[in-house]
Amino acid sequence: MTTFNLPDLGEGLPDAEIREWYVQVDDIIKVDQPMVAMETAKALVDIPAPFSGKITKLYGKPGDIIKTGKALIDIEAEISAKKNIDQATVVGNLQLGNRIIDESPLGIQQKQISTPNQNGIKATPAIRALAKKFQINLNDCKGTGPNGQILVADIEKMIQQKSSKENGTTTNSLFSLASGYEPLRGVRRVMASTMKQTQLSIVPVTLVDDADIHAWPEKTDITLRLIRAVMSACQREPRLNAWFDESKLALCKHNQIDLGLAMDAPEGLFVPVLKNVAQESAVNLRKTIDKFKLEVKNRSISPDDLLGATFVLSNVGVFAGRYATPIIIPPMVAILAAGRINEKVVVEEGKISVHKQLPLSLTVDHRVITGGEAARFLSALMLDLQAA
Amino acid sequence: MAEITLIEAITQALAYEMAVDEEVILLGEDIGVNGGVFRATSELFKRFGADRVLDTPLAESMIAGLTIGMATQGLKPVAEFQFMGFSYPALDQIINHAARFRNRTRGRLHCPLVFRMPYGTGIHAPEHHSESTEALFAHIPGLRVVIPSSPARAYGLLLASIRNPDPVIFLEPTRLYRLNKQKVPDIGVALPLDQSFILREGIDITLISWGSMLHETLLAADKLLQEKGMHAEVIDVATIKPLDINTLLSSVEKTGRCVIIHEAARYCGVGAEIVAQLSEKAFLFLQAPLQRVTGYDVTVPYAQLEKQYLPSVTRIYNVIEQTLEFT
Repeated sequence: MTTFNLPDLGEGLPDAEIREWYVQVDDIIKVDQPMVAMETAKALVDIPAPFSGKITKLYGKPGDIIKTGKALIDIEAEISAKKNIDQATVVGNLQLGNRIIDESPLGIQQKQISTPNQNGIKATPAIRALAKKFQINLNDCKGTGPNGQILVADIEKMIQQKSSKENGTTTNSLFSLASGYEPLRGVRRVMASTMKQTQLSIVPVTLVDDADIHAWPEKTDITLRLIRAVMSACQREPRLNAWFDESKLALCKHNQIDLGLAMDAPEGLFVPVLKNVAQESAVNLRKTIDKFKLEVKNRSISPDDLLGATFVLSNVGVFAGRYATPIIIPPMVAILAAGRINEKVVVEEGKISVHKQLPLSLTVDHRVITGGEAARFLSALMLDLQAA
Repeated sequence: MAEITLIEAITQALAYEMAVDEEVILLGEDIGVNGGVFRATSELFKRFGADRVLDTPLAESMIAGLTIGMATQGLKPVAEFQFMGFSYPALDQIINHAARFRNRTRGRLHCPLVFRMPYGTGIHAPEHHSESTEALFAHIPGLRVVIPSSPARAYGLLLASIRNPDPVIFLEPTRLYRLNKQKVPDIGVALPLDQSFILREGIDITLISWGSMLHETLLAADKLLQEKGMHAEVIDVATIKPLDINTLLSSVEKTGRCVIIHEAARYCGVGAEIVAQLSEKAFLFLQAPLQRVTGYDVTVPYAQLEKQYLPSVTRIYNVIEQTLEFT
């Protein structure tokens, strides 16, 4: 049994008056339950039970004054032994609980080692992200990788199935699916990747100038003249007729010129190769060029004829454009573009006259070709072209 | 059979093993006549006498050295450090000798000893009395680190630790000493020392913890079931070193999501090791980043801030929610 004394109800008040008992003797009360309303000089205060238990005595009736610190109520505590329990520590305060653990010391026995792919989905975080991006449920996806691992191909397949279900069409690739887009195919696809690769590695420098072709006879074959000029320029600067192995930083100079001729076609750009141009007669060269043109048009050109160029000539001026910044196709190190022929007023021996001009754009890979070499090459080219 | 508390289970295990194996010797500060700071060795002095229950001077390095000497010469000493924070003076003995005697002598000598240490915060103790530096010991090759989380596991794991032929750091969560009770048959059955224990089965998320944090972890699992109807698999790692990665792995492969809860500071805590191993071995199964809920990277605070330091049910639950919501 514990006697609960009237606590100080605020600011050192000497006493308080009992207003109303909420409880009576033999009541069972819970901790914090209001027991009595006490009136002080300032306020009416409910006093809560300090602990749970049974009430054994009330000290006073409503109207009685109780002095602060004097007995107010006797309570038989629910657990009177609480204070006597050895806390079993000289340091700190151990919490005592009532919970009884009902479990095996070994916990729950694992039900056999399960095979991985029965339980979870096997996929890298990147695959999970991809599936999420295309709203593919990985549960529906059959993994074809090791031990059922889901691969990019599996996701692609799901995307195809999904899109064919949705709009009755199939798409080829993960990355060309937005509406309005159409995947690049064939030569154009090759062009896209080659050009990108080119831009990543080559350091291009383009030199432009005009060749005065006033001396040319009527009906001169421009392409054949350009080929002749390239041969002459390559003799002057053989480093431009070469292949560069960037992984080994090694240059392979070629003894013969296998000249690639850039040809435009609806499907894209073709570059058939005239093998060893120095050995061929002008007539034969023209024949071969015409044959290539036809084959490119018919799409019948042999793959062998598209391989192995050591230098490329692009005659863009057939349509429009004077100068260009032609792009080198690795492993080559140079490319020449000829623009549209135009007329220019020139001063010749003190007189004004009009001469035809052939605009030239030479791009070299500055990793292996110096500016001087490029300029000398262009100079030799022009010298040859300006001859009759 | 009466239900007993974790500390009573410790006493019961010590008494059982001392009765059946007279090579088992207890030593420590005030463990004899006084019965130890937490009364773990209460009555054992009376029952087994001063030859088996040794009161030592207040010198932890000496206690460890004495223990190692006894162990190498055929006894099975169980030493008590009053608190984990007081084991640091003995680290030289533990790391430089106990952990490597077997290796140094090529197996001629070994150390069948147990260092018992009350550990962890949450009991309003002063400084040095709230340490949870299990990762320090787990880092040392040659030491086994064991942490019980229930009376039955305290009994079974302590028996196994005493019987183990090599040194065991046996960490007793003070907060659990008298928190729960359990029926613990006193029949000398040890538990495996290389196994983690599944306390709840679930398919939605794996919660990995040990020691006293399992209390909050289980409450968080309850809350998850009540509020979302989702089932967490709760695993008591129990033996921190060596790690029973297979039990953790099977669970994470099943759930794909995992939160690790420990009261030790976050940086280089055992949780980091578990995350590393799971990310190596369960990489293909993870549906969310592996998360940790831990104490902060500060000296364990005094009583007033203990509750802020210890991962609360709310903190754990919030991270569980984040992990479950990750897509």
